Amino acid sequence: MVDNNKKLSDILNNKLSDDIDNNMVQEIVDYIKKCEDCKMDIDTIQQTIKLARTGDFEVLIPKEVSKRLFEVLGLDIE
Amino acid sequence: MTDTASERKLISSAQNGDKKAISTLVSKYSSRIYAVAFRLMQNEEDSEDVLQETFIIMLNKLDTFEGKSSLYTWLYRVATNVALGKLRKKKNIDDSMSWDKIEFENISSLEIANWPDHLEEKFDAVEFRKCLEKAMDELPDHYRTVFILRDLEGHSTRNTAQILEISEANVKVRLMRARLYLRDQLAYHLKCVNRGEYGRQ
Repeated sequence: MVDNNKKLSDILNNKLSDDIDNNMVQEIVDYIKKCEDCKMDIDTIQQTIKLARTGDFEVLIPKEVSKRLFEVLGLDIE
Repeated sequence: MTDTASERKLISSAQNGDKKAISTLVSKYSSRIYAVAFRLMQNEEDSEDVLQETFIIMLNKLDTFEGKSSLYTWLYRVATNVALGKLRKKKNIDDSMSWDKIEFENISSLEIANWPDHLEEKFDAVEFRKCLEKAMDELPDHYRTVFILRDLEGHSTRNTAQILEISEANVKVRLMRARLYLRDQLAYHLKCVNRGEYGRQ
């Protein structure tokens, strides 16, 4: 598994500095199709992003913070 | 008039000292700048400082804004730089030291077992939030910033590169490392390993 991950990682890293063309995308897709460990690796990363978004919260600017900002800038609040 | 054209007109008026135009720009972007500041600084006081400094810089430098990028991207760049500067000062450590804390080269070599479906339903929301904050906090600022801009704020690779003034390739490398690190940390912090269900093996 480690070898497979390293190989996929090497492919991605080696190509990251260039624009990935369609052939390379196909090469990667074909490789991943044959590599169960790689699919698992990608799945868990996708889940991490999903979990991070789920755990994230909407940040709203408090009214008093907005008021102080306009005061500091010497502007009238719209 | 398109949004871009109306925005250009607004910026032009602001550059000529029109206070109403400046107020409109501040109103338009302050929420989003505060949000990214809060994600980076993780407390209200510092986030407010970043917000104020960003718009003070905007007022002082607006006449030099040439429109090579959007004002939105320009403000994000200023806010991110201000925030990273504050974080560096706060942690009182050199960047290179924080980068060395994590052995990124070994991350992709970790063995990961499959995670069950609907993982988020298995976690207590508060506990998960704490785990995520801890994992994010441990991530060096340069990696965390890319993760926040790309995966949480939803900026494109190109836009993230413009905001941080780094190459797109660099954004991709940092993002991949940040994702891998967070994946491993989430598994670890949630004690998945001990339950033997998923995580590191």
